[in-house]
Amino acid sequence: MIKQIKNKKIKYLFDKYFIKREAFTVAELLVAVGLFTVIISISIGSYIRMIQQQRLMTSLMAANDNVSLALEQMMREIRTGKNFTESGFDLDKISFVNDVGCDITYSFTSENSIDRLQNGGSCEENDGPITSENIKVQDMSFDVESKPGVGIFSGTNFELVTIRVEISNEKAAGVEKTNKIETKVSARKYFGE
Amino acid sequence: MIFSSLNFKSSKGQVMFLTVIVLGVVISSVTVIAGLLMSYQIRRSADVSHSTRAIFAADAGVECMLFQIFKDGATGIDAKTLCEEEEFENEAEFFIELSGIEAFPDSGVPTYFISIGKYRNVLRSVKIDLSL
Repeated sequence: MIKQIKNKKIKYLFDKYFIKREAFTVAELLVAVGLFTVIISISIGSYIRMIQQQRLMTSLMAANDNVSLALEQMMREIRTGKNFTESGFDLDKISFVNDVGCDITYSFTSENSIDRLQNGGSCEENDGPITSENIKVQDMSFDVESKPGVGIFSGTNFELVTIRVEISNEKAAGVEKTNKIETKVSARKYFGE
Repeated sequence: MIFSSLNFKSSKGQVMFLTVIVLGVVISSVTVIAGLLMSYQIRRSADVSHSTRAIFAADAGVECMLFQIFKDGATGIDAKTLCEEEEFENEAEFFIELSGIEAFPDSGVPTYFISIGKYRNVLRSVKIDLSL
């Protein structure tokens, strides 16, 4: 008895909500689909911009990390170097002797990279870029300030090298951003070298 | 009970309209959140470049101070004055904070100093301890 009543109730509900339901008109459907399309378009646009921004950020971070490492390498070698001379067009080249007696030249190349050339003395010749391909070095210049030391350092010249680098990231999402970095590094001659 | 009390038969297209509105609200909320995240990312990407400039400016401050101090034994205050006069082409700047000058009373060389690099609203600092 109870089962019969239950079955009747289920049948009634099924008929009420699924069988006897009226359809939507074309106008209603058009309005609904139109609204949905507009909302979806806005959200997809926003999502695409977010992805592009993410790509740009990754590319910028890679470029900045890469130039930081290249600068760090140059600065380490300059700190322990001597006999600095800047040269080249727009002073985009620096030459010096490093702590093991090799002639080192860092220069800005036409391939938009920073190049390190090692030769001289007993050093094996080595030439190659120290920046990766995912950054473009747009400009680089050096400025060597040399001052004579006093006291126990008299007769020794102290050098302060200013390095200016302008880089841009690999084009990401059609955007290329430039960053100018400037820093100084002093050659360590605290022990009379 | 509430479900059965709703008269869907007579509401016709309003159910669909309501559904679209609810969906719209949900999607709009997601879009707003995505937009917020995007704006944070834009800020972060700008900060990456600014941070690099500020770090290297702070580093330049350290190097300049060491150059002035060790070249001719300039006092901390003299070195600070000489270094802070210099201007950067990329508009970054640095400030030197001296501490513990009394540790080297004869030379006036500070025990340690902090170089603070600044570019726009980004600050980065490097501390050098000469007492070790």
